[in-house]
Amino acid sequence: MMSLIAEVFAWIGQVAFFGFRAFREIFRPPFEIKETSRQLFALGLQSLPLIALSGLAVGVVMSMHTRSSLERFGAEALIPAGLAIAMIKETGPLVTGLLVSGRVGAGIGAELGGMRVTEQIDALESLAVDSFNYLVVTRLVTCLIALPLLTTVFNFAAITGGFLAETTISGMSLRLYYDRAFSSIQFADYVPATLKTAVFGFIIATVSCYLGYHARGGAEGVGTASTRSVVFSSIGLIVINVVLVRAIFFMFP
Amino acid sequence: MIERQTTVRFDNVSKAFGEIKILEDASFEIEEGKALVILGRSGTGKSVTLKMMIGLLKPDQGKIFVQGREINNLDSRELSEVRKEMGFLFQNAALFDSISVGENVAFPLRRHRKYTEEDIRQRVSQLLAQVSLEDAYDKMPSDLSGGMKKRAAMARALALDPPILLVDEPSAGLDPITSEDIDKLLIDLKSDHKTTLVVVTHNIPSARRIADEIIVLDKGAIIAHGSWEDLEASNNDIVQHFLRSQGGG
Repeated sequence: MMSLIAEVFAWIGQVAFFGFRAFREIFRPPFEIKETSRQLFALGLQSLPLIALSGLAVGVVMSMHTRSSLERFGAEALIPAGLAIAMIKETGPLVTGLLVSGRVGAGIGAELGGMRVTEQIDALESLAVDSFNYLVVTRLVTCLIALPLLTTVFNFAAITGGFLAETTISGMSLRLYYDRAFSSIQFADYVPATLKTAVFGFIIATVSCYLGYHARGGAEGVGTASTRSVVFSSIGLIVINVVLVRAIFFMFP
Repeated sequence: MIERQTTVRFDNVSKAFGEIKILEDASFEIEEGKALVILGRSGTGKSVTLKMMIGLLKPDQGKIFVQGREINNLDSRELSEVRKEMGFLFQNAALFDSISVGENVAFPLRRHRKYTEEDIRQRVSQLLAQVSLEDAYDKMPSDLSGGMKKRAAMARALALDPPILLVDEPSAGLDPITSEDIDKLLIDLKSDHKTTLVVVTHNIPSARRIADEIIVLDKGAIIAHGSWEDLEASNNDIVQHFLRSQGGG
């Protein structure tokens, strides 16, 4: 049992070292701007439909749940504000992180794993290209940039979904809905909660890249890297979220 | 003291993966513009030897010199500079499967040469023609047969005109005619461009055509080293078995 715990901590240490090495390399040339842009398109922009649609659906559902609770107290007017606070401060960042972990984490794990077992990473090295910089650092930068942006899209889509549900039920106007939703939100609510998703991006990129980059054993190894990327980055993200929420409460009381 | 003519040198190099010894106390050198062929049964450390030569694997013991520089302790940037002087053809081609064949060949040119798009297109077309893949520019690697992938990978390995070319199983998966064409290309590179070749192969007729020197590996040890005539004169059973196989003798 003790040896298993020691192995888990050793593994976490290796992944953390890998991640911090990648973070340090972000600031050292050569800067792979073209590859980073390509990754931003592939991992970030192409995640937009999933994020926007999920946000819309979550917004509709949350709005309906909130209404069923608040109308008992005659407090339906608080639905837009309640939904906006819930989305921006917690639900949006966490759900976006988990969605990206599923879509992007699995993709990175499988892509790098496939490249490793077919010697494409060795081929990159043999062509005098630093594979760590080219493959890992670019994906880390992408996740650091994409997560806060996707979270903003998710939040906006969710609030819009809430409006669609509310206007269907109560006929509330768009202007009134947004007025009520955003009147209770301050900049200090939005910024820390959204920026913490950069940490989620760090975890997703680090875990997925580590597992893909060190994949072994053919197609099975690629599958394992892909599955573990999603599972481990999701767990990491949920656990670190607890710490970050506490830190945000401490810094922005 | 390293001779100026020596391009690659192994000094008492050993490599093991866990308990399995892959290469043990291997020493040899390759002169500039010569072709060294490494023969041996599967799993005797031939590909590992090539990968150590380009720094993809590090030896457990011993030193490896490339063009006079010991490569064991170079950092990634210094190693990149050494690698620009080398081409590597992987056993399974290792083409980048997310980009076209033309882009695969163009990849090192875009990274390391300041060519215009037109120059790159021209150079890639020329390289693909060299390996008889003129029509493959826009095809994806998944659309190619195993032999075609290998030839495309050869074109990529030659893109930077490397003075040293490491080739892992050039004939594997190729028909005899294409295999001969690849051999001819290697021989031309050696004679016209003074390219130093290190070729791993099981194909004895191919080894005969290409080699100036041959090394035979068995269980991680060099059991024979010399010219074709030296090997023919060897009393070692494994060496003789190898030379007699595939019409080699």
